[in-house]
Amino acid sequence: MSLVALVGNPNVGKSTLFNALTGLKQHTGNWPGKTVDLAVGQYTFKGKTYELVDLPGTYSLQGISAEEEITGEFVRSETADGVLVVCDATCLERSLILALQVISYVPRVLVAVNLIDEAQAMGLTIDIDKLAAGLGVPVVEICGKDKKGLDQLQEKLRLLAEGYLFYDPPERIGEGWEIAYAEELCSCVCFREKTEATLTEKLDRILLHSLWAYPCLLGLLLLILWLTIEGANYPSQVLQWGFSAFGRGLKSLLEGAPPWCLGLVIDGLYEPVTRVISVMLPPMAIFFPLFTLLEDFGYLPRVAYLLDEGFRRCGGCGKQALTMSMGFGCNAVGVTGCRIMESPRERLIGILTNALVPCNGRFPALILLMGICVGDLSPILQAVGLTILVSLSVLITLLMSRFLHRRVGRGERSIFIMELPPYRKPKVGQVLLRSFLDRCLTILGRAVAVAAPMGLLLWVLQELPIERGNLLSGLAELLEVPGAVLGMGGTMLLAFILGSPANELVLPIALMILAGGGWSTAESTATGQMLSDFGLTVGQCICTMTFMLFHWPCTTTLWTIYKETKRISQTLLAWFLPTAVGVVLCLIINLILHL
Amino acid sequence: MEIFLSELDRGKEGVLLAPMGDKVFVGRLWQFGLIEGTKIRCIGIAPMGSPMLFSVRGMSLALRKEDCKEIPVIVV
Repeated sequence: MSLVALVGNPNVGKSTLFNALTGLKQHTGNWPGKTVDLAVGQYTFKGKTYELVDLPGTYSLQGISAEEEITGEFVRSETADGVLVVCDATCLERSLILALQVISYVPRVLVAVNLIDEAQAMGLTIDIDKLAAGLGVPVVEICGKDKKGLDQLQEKLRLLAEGYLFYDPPERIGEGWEIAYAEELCSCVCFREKTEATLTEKLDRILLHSLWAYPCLLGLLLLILWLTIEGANYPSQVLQWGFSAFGRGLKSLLEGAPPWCLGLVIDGLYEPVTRVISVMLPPMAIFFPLFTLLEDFGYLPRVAYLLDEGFRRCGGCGKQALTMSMGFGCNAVGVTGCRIMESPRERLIGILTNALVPCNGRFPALILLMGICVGDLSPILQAVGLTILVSLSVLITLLMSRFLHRRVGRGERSIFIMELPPYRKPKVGQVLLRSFLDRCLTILGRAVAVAAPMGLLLWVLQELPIERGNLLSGLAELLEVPGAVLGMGGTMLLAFILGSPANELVLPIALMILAGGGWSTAESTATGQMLSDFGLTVGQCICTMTFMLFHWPCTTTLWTIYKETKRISQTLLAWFLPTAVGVVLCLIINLILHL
Repeated sequence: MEIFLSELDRGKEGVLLAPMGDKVFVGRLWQFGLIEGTKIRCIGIAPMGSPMLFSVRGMSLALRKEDCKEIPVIVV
């Protein structure tokens, strides 16, 4: 089996090509530096198996960030049987710099010029033969997205692995030779016809406009949140209806069984798992694909560009906007994403503040709680409310970053250089479907892996009688005083504590505690309705929402933070900071509500 | 006329001279191919005044204004 390393600048369509060749389902986001973990895949061609390693995108083999170093090291180690350098036809000169570096290090190189469809749309043509002669290695033209030229590519890779391809590298004259050489070579092989403004330039005139940029940013956020709320409404109800119908069937099936058996299956397993699924699945399965579309489109680097100055004044950098966006999906992913920051201090600040941004698991809870507060108001107003909450999160993140920046980490110069890639039309159908299925599987998996054991634990706690009631209600009572101080009540506080493994568990746990094991006989209704029926006041709702935004990171995120920082002290700090914010804010709000 | 990159007006093109600053900074610029003799054109400035957006080697690059104050250019 031959090993081929896939190398290229960020955002040249390397991962798209990787997927096209290996068929592996891998998420590609359209902003520089996204692929942080190494992806390995296989494909077979003419009876032989080839292993592809998708190395992190880098601008140069002498990378500065951690992930760029990985690529440089891997190539120089000559572990692979061959290196495939993927170049961007729309931006050939820059791609050639890396290609020339690779060619000077290893003898088995194949260059693939990708995105030829976009180059054509821009009026660019490239003389491939001349390019191959100038580079001294074979070159193929491909379009990874449409799978054009892949047969020729695979054939050349086969020859490459067996050592049959030509190799006649240009002479290295002094340091930095590749930059001047790339410039000259590109001017010889690239020909541009049209000079009218590209779609990217036209769009950026609005999206980066001094007046319209920020309203567009807010508007897009609002749009995504509104689509999530509006779209999740009906499916949630359908799922709830379906599950309760099935639940009734299940209960009648277990008619003759002993009461503990009924309790275990229904209260311990069925109710928690199905409640998590029916409440959490629809919003998460809509939000994530929408956000992925925005990512693939290429808008996120613009967000970093627009917010960099704000972050800079707080000691951070625009890349923090990117890790924050990742945190919207999952805080653990956001924490890992902080690797794109070069400065250790900025990386630490990014990690410590990521949990201040609500993750997918918290969105449905926030939407639900807001529904209780504003009552039967339209989804658009709920979306507005959620946008305000998210903006509050961003504001607190900035403030916290400013607070931390002189107090943690080593003082190093932070350098912000970011490429704004051209807008790419994502394959909408494919992205939506892939992301949707991915989310469904993830949530179903988590529901079983986390909600089921938690449900069982709670059921056991409820079954253990103590002086007044059971162990579970006893714990809630124990927390009544701190809960009242924070304005949310002991039950909710207990729910937050028990919901530490996953944020989507918090409200279902609260419901379980309030229901007190009476579900086996009660009729299931909408979660929001049930919570207010059980006495959750609007005031408690507001405090719960506040704490939902600002509380300790979930255990998955904490574990990820530990793996990234390798320091217990920093992990504890990551636990403490958002909690402190939440406690302080809840105290203040509770005070205001009681005036 | 020699100015700093931070003073390059929108739409104007310049040629880079050797950048000043510490090794890490220069090294990072080098990685993006920003060395002496590179043609660079200013295509925009962010609403808050920083970063500035440039077209260089066919790509759009964003650089902070304060960093641009350390990069000398000759206006074309």
